[in-house]
Amino acid sequence: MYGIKAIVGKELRRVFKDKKMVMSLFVLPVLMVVGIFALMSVLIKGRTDDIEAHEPVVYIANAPTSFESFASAAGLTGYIEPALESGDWLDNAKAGLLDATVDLIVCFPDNFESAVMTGADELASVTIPQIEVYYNPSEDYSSQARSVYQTYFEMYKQGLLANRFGDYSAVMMFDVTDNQIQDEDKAAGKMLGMMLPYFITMLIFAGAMGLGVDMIAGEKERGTLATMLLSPVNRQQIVLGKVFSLSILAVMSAAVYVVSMVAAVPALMKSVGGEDALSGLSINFTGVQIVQIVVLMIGVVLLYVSIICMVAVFAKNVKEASSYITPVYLVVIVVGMFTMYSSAEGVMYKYLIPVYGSSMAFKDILTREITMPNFLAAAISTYVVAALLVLVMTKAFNSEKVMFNA
Amino acid sequence: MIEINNLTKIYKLSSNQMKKLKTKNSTKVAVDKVSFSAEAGEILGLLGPNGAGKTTTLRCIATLLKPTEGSITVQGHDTVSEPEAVRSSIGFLTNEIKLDPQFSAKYLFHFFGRLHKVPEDVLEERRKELFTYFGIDGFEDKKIEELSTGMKQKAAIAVSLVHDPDIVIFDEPTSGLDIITARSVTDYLLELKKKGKLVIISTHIMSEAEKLCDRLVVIIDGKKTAEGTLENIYEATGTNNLEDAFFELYKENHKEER
Ligand SMILES: Nc1ncnc2c1ncn2[C@@H]1O[C@H](COP(=O)(O)OP(=O)(O)OP(=O)(O)O)[C@@H](O)[C@H]1O
Ligand SMILES: [Mg+2]
Repeated sequence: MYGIKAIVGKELRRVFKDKKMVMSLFVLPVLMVVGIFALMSVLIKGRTDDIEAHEPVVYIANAPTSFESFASAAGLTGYIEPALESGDWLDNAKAGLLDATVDLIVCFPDNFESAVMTGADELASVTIPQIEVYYNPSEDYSSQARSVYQTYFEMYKQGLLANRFGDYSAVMMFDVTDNQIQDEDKAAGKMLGMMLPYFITMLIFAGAMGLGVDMIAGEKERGTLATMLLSPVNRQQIVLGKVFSLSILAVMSAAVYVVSMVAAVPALMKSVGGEDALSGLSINFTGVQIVQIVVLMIGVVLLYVSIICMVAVFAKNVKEASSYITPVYLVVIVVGMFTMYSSAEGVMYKYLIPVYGSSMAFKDILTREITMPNFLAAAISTYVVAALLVLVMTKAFNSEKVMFNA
Repeated sequence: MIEINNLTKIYKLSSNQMKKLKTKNSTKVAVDKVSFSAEAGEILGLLGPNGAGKTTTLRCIATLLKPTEGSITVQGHDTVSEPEAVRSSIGFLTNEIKLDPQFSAKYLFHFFGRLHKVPEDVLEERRKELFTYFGIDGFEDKKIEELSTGMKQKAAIAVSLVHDPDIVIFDEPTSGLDIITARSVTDYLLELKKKGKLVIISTHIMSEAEKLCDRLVVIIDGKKTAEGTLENIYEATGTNNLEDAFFELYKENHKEER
């Protein structure tokens, strides 16, 4: 134990005494997250404000008198009535939609007014008139103009219906109200469960990779690990000291990311007016859930850190370790992505698969679908694999081939 | 104190190493059936040209390498079956084993003291004594990377002695040092001998071996070619100084390969 303690103390000191390390592990992530989110909110807000402020260029051809009077009553002004005599105005206007000088074209048919003014008792004699609308969905201004005019057309239609039947509610027939009934925690858990295992993997790996490579392969290359191997400390304590200190640092750097995200996301949503999207993300944990998450989380951190250390131990130098670790990172990320869209469906042996099983268990804990045996299967397999890796590393630390290339 | 019995160390060469050495052998016999022993209160010198197998022999004693054949006991403990007991009784220094550049000498002294389970108060006292002797007390809070070569070497020596070991094994302790610094190191080795410690050094500096060592083991091409006091070796080679004796031994025992 004394060896583990001394080594953890030294490794933490190495990081915290080094201003550059502290910057890159704990300060830069915060600045990056806050900076990116601030920039995003400024850009998104600027864009929406701009679209709303834009005065749309709208052509309305053949507008009937009833529409004109509706428009002036509704305060809808600023549209252009093209001179229909020049036969190619429509082609010109369509070209305008493509180069974004025109936002919307509306063509009323010739018989529109007579058709809509037909009384309720003569309906059999009319066909429903079509208003042709042209817009460009890839232009924000155009899409915005279309949705604004759709609202106006709805109001216009309601006015005409009231005119024909005397009372609009007579033709509305019924209205539909949606009421959502769901377990809010489960719904939020589902969303978190999809993202969390993936994020944890990314953050833990990102934080621990560089450090782990330097802590082991770097020390080996610099000849400082050998100094430690000369002390009477058991090799296993050296391995555990490295694994524990790297775990602590990885968790701290991941926590810094998570905390700054949690702080920055609501601020972003608020500034662009999307608070509703967040309400679905609040979640209440039960005591058992918290214990399960913590137990599993520690196991996963130890497992990932052990994987990183393992690669670093067997690499001859830092360069080799860095090139080995990238594919390992990719594999773990792919497994994480895979778990986003798949489910272990409560089949016990699937929870025993390292990396995959623990991600599945995280998902199920958050959606409250985990059973105790499945949780235990995932947790135990994670810890057992981590322990096996530690044993293999201890063997490697005793091997002159691995340590001294002899 | 130390018993080496028929020590043989054979390195397996990787294909890369074979290419570099321009050899078709996939193994390299670095130490070949070497036996000798050493007792408390003496300074034993391992003398040999580059690549003779000195460092390999010393690393085997320090438990960093396992003998391919033969055995080594240190104070009755076998280096393979009881490596931890061996490690706690020796202080070992070699060029390729270094101190962490990002830490201060003071911190590392305490760190290794803790790994050797030295009580804090004893540790404090030993640090003051060693750092004062080697003149590093003024630099003890500086990072190792900021120290000069000589200062680094002296810090490494001090750290290797943190647990007051009975056996001190230094591989070329004065290489890269100026004569003043080298002298303070060799003087300290004499001091250790006076305290009854066993000191083993490797060197290819003849004058150093002549002045310092009570007994010498000469290794050439991994084989022990002579052993004894200076007089024994002069007698055996019919010479009156170590340099001539060494050349005699080398001519006799080194066979050109191919
Ligand atoms: N890790 C290794 N793998 C393969 N061969 C090695 C290894 N280490 C040393 N050797 C070879 O073993 C032989 C003995 O090396 P060693 O370092 O013990 O010599 P030395 O006497 O200390 O030499 P020097 O005076 O140059 O330090 C040399 O030929 C060397 O090339
Ligand atoms: Mg050597």
